[in-house]
Amino acid sequence: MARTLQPIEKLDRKGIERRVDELVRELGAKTRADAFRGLDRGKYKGRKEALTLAALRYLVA
Amino acid sequence: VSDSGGIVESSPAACAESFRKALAKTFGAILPSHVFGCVGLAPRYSLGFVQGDSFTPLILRGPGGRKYAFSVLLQVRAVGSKKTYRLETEGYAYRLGSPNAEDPLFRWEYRREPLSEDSQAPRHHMHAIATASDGTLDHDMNRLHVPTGWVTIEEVLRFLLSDLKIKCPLSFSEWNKVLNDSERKFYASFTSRRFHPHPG
Repeated sequence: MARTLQPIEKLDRKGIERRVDELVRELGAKTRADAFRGLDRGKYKGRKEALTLAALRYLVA
Repeated sequence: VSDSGGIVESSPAACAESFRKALAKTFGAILPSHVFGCVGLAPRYSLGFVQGDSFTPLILRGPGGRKYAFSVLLQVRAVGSKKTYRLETEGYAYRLGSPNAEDPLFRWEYRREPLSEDSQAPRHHMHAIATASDGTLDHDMNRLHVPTGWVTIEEVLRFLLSDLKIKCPLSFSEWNKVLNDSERKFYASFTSRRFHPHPG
């Protein structure tokens, strides 16, 4: 099923939480903690999802 | 603007929007078409270039067909109560490199609360894909946290325009004025320091 894209500026708490979990999956991590650790250690170099996760992580930390 | 400095608004969201608008005006005058957005859950907000449901680097063009990927991530927090909120910066990351490379060539970063692995490193720092060597000592500058002062986004834009010759629709005197005005506003709104404009 095609995903409905929501402009990121318009995301509410639920939308942000959902987007964070999508990004965690897209990066191949099992959990948020794993993804955040990977982000800190530079594991996702060159992955465009990492920038969005870094931005949204700050909001759900 | 309060006596003690800082954008002051009646709500956290209004603070963040005020900051976003000021930066969007500066970016809009200088950089190619883009959306500079803000997403947040009060009192915290992240700002950067956005496209659809993602934060994204902006592709800039330099001389000789060079292309650069430039990303901005600002993390701010509104503090206050009773309809008086002031914005504080909790972190910034400005990254510049080739659109196709894994690692950016240059990174300017600040985190008020450093990551545990970086906790002893200078909070305001830069990295570069380069080796600093004098023939005796060698250091990988992508791993070092080379200390910097507070790097404003206007100074990074100035670097892009003056040193990397990024294509811009404005003349030097025009972009210099845009950056001076923007930086003056930043200093007046966010700090107690005096701003010394670049000549030009």
